[in-house]
Amino acid sequence: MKNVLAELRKEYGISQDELAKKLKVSRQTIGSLEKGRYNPSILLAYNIAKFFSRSIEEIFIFEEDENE
Amino acid sequence: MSRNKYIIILFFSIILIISAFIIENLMGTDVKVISGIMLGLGAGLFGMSVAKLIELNYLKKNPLKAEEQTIELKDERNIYIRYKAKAKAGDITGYLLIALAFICIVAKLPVWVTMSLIGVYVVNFIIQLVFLSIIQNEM
Repeated sequence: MKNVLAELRKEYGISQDELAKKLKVSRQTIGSLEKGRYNPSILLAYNIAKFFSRSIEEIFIFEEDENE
Repeated sequence: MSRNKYIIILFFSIILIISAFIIENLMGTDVKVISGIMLGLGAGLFGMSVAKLIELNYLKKNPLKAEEQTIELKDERNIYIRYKAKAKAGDITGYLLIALAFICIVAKLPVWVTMSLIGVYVVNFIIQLVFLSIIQNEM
Protein backbone atom coordinates (compact mmCIF):
# COMPACT_ATOMS: atom_id res chain seq x y z
CA MET A 1 0.00 0.00 0.00
CA LYS A 2 1.39 3.37 -1.00
CA ASN A 3 1.39 6.23 1.47
CA VAL A 4 2.42 9.85 1.90
CA LEU A 5 3.87 9.37 5.37
CA ALA A 6 7.40 10.52 4.46
CA GLU A 7 6.08 13.68 2.79
CA LEU A 8 3.81 14.46 5.74
CA ARG A 9 6.58 13.84 8.25
CA LYS A 10 8.92 16.19 6.37
CA GLU A 11 6.12 18.74 6.14
CA TYR A 12 5.84 18.62 9.93
CA GLY A 13 9.63 18.83 10.23
CA ILE A 14 10.06 15.80 12.44
CA SER A 15 12.50 12.91 12.22
CA GLN A 16 11.57 9.23 11.93
CA ASP A 17 12.80 8.77 15.49
CA GLU A 18 10.59 11.56 16.85
CA LEU A 19 7.53 10.27 15.00
CA ALA A 20 8.23 6.76 16.25
CA LYS A 21 8.40 8.02 19.85
CA LYS A 22 5.13 9.95 19.46
CA LEU A 23 3.37 6.89 18.03
CA LYS A 24 5.07 4.48 20.46
CA VAL A 25 6.47 2.28 17.69
CA SER A 26 10.04 1.50 16.65
CA ARG A 27 11.94 3.74 14.24
CA GLN A 28 12.29 0.76 11.90
CA THR A 29 8.50 0.51 11.68
CA ILE A 30 8.29 4.13 10.50
CA GLY A 31 11.05 3.45 7.96
CA SER A 32 9.28 0.33 6.66
CA LEU A 33 5.94 2.18 6.46
CA GLU A 34 7.51 5.02 4.50
CA LYS A 35 9.12 2.61 2.05
CA GLY A 36 5.78 0.78 1.65
CA ARG A 37 7.31 -2.49 2.78
CA TYR A 38 4.92 -2.86 5.72
CA ASN A 39 1.19 -2.21 5.93
CA PRO A 40 0.09 -0.93 9.34
CA SER A 41 -2.71 -2.34 11.46
CA ILE A 42 -5.91 -0.30 11.45
CA LEU A 43 -5.00 0.89 14.96
CA LEU A 44 -1.59 2.22 13.90
CA ALA A 45 -3.07 3.73 10.73
CA TYR A 46 -5.66 5.46 12.92
CA ASN A 47 -2.98 6.77 15.31
CA ILE A 48 -0.91 8.08 12.39
CA ALA A 49 -3.96 9.78 10.87
CA LYS A 50 -4.86 11.28 14.27
CA PHE A 51 -1.31 12.56 14.77
CA PHE A 52 -1.28 14.34 11.40
CA SER A 53 -4.96 15.42 11.72
CA ARG A 54 -5.81 13.72 8.44
CA SER A 55 -8.05 10.85 7.46
CA ILE A 56 -6.56 7.38 6.96
CA GLU A 57 -7.44 7.55 3.22
CA GLU A 58 -5.47 10.77 2.84
CA ILE A 59 -2.31 9.07 4.13
CA PHE A 60 -2.67 5.51 2.91
CA ILE A 61 -3.57 5.06 -0.74
CA PHE A 62 -5.33 1.80 -1.48
CA GLU A 63 -5.02 0.53 -5.04
CA GLU A 64 -7.58 -1.96 -6.38
CA ASP A 65 -4.97 -4.38 -7.79
CA GLU A 66 -3.45 -4.82 -4.30
CA ASN A 67 -6.43 -6.98 -3.37
CA GLU A 68 -5.88 -9.44 -6.25
CA MET B 1 5.97 -8.25 40.52
CA SER B 2 8.44 -9.30 37.85
CA ARG B 3 11.35 -8.66 40.26
CA ASN B 4 9.73 -10.80 42.98
CA LYS B 5 9.18 -13.60 40.45
CA TYR B 6 12.89 -13.73 39.62
CA ILE B 7 13.89 -13.52 43.30
CA ILE B 8 11.69 -16.59 43.96
CA ILE B 9 13.29 -18.40 40.98
CA LEU B 10 16.75 -17.44 42.30
CA PHE B 11 16.00 -18.91 45.74
CA PHE B 12 14.52 -22.03 44.12
CA SER B 13 17.65 -22.46 41.98
CA ILE B 14 19.94 -22.14 45.04
CA ILE B 15 17.82 -24.74 46.86
CA LEU B 16 18.10 -27.04 43.82
CA ILE B 17 21.89 -26.68 43.66
CA ILE B 18 22.34 -27.26 47.41
CA SER B 19 19.91 -30.22 47.33
CA ALA B 20 21.84 -31.76 44.42
CA PHE B 21 25.07 -31.72 46.45
CA ILE B 22 23.36 -32.99 49.62
CA ILE B 23 21.59 -35.85 47.77
CA GLU B 24 24.81 -36.93 46.04
CA ASN B 25 26.80 -36.86 49.28
CA LEU B 26 24.15 -38.74 51.25
CA MET B 27 23.11 -41.34 48.68
CA GLY B 28 26.28 -41.72 46.61
CA THR B 29 26.47 -42.57 42.93
CA ASP B 30 23.03 -44.24 42.84
CA VAL B 31 21.34 -40.86 42.39
CA LYS B 32 24.04 -39.30 40.17
CA VAL B 33 21.56 -38.80 37.29
CA ILE B 34 18.96 -37.11 39.51
CA SER B 35 21.50 -34.89 41.24
CA GLY B 36 23.01 -34.05 37.83
CA ILE B 37 19.62 -32.97 36.49
CA MET B 38 18.97 -30.93 39.66
CA LEU B 39 22.39 -29.28 39.42
CA GLY B 40 21.96 -28.49 35.70
CA LEU B 41 18.46 -27.13 36.20
CA GLY B 42 19.53 -25.15 39.25
CA ALA B 43 22.55 -23.65 37.51
CA GLY B 44 20.45 -22.70 34.48
CA LEU B 45 17.73 -21.07 36.59
CA PHE B 46 20.35 -19.33 38.72
CA GLY B 47 22.06 -17.80 35.68
CA MET B 48 18.76 -16.78 34.10
CA SER B 49 17.34 -15.18 37.26
CA VAL B 50 20.58 -13.32 38.10
CA ALA B 51 20.77 -11.99 34.52
CA LYS B 52 17.10 -10.91 34.63
CA LEU B 53 17.53 -9.21 38.02
CA ILE B 54 20.58 -7.30 36.75
CA GLU B 55 18.61 -6.28 33.65
CA LEU B 56 15.60 -5.15 35.74
CA ASN B 57 17.90 -3.17 38.03
CA TYR B 58 19.55 -1.50 35.03
CA LEU B 59 16.16 -0.65 33.48
CA LYS B 60 14.94 0.77 36.80
CA LYS B 61 17.89 3.16 36.81
CA ASN B 62 17.42 3.99 33.10
CA PRO B 63 13.69 4.66 32.54
CA LEU B 64 14.33 5.94 29.00
CA LYS B 65 15.99 2.66 28.05
CA ALA B 66 13.12 0.79 29.72
CA GLU B 67 10.58 2.71 27.64
CA GLU B 68 12.57 2.01 24.47
CA GLN B 69 12.64 -1.69 25.31
CA THR B 70 8.87 -1.74 25.96
CA ILE B 71 8.24 -0.02 22.62
CA GLU B 72 10.50 -2.51 20.81
CA LEU B 73 8.68 -5.40 22.51
CA LYS B 74 5.16 -4.11 21.81
CA ASP B 75 5.88 -2.73 18.34
CA GLU B 76 3.35 -4.36 15.99
CA ARG B 77 5.87 -4.90 13.18
CA ASN B 78 8.30 -6.56 15.60
CA ILE B 79 5.47 -8.79 16.91
CA TYR B 80 4.55 -9.72 13.31
CA ILE B 81 8.22 -10.47 12.51
CA ARG B 82 8.59 -12.62 15.64
CA TYR B 83 5.43 -14.63 14.86
CA LYS B 84 6.47 -15.12 11.22
CA ALA B 85 10.00 -16.18 12.21
CA LYS B 86 8.63 -18.66 14.77
CA ALA B 87 6.15 -20.07 12.25
CA LYS B 88 8.88 -20.52 9.61
CA ALA B 89 11.22 -22.10 12.18
CA GLY B 90 8.40 -24.48 13.17
CA ASP B 91 7.80 -25.44 9.52
CA ILE B 92 11.49 -26.07 8.90
CA THR B 93 11.75 -28.12 12.12
CA GLY B 94 8.88 -30.27 10.83
CA TYR B 95 10.70 -30.92 7.52
CA LEU B 96 13.92 -31.67 9.43
CA LEU B 97 12.10 -34.22 11.60
CA ILE B 98 10.86 -36.07 8.50
CA ALA B 99 14.33 -35.90 6.92
CA LEU B 100 15.85 -37.26 10.14
CA ALA B 101 13.27 -40.05 10.24
CA PHE B 102 14.31 -41.10 6.70
CA ILE B 103 18.00 -40.93 7.68
CA CYS B 104 17.21 -43.19 10.65
CA ILE B 105 15.52 -45.71 8.35
CA VAL B 106 18.47 -45.69 5.90
CA ALA B 107 20.97 -45.94 8.79
CA LYS B 108 18.99 -48.92 10.12
CA LEU B 109 18.65 -47.37 13.57
CA PRO B 110 16.23 -48.94 16.07
CA VAL B 111 12.56 -48.56 15.09
CA TRP B 112 11.74 -46.62 18.26
CA VAL B 113 14.08 -43.80 17.18
CA THR B 114 12.28 -43.40 13.83
CA MET B 115 8.86 -43.74 15.47
CA SER B 116 9.79 -41.14 18.11
CA LEU B 117 10.73 -38.64 15.39
CA ILE B 118 7.51 -39.32 13.48
CA GLY B 119 5.62 -39.08 16.78
CA VAL B 120 7.07 -35.62 17.47
CA TYR B 121 6.10 -34.55 13.92
CA VAL B 122 2.53 -35.80 14.42
CA VAL B 123 2.23 -34.13 17.84
CA ASN B 124 3.54 -30.89 16.33
CA PHE B 125 0.92 -31.16 13.56
CA ILE B 126 -1.88 -31.84 16.08
CA ILE B 127 -0.81 -28.86 18.23
CA GLN B 128 -0.88 -26.74 15.07
CA LEU B 129 -4.44 -27.88 14.29
CA VAL B 130 -5.56 -27.21 17.89
CA PHE B 131 -4.15 -23.68 17.80
CA LEU B 132 -5.66 -23.06 14.36
CA SER B 133 -9.06 -23.93 15.82
CA ILE B 134 -8.53 -21.88 19.03
CA ILE B 135 -7.30 -18.80 17.16
CA GLN B 136 -10.08 -19.08 14.54
CA ASN B 137 -12.64 -19.11 17.35
CA GLU B 138 -10.99 -16.11 19.01
CA MET B 139 -11.03 -13.97 15.86
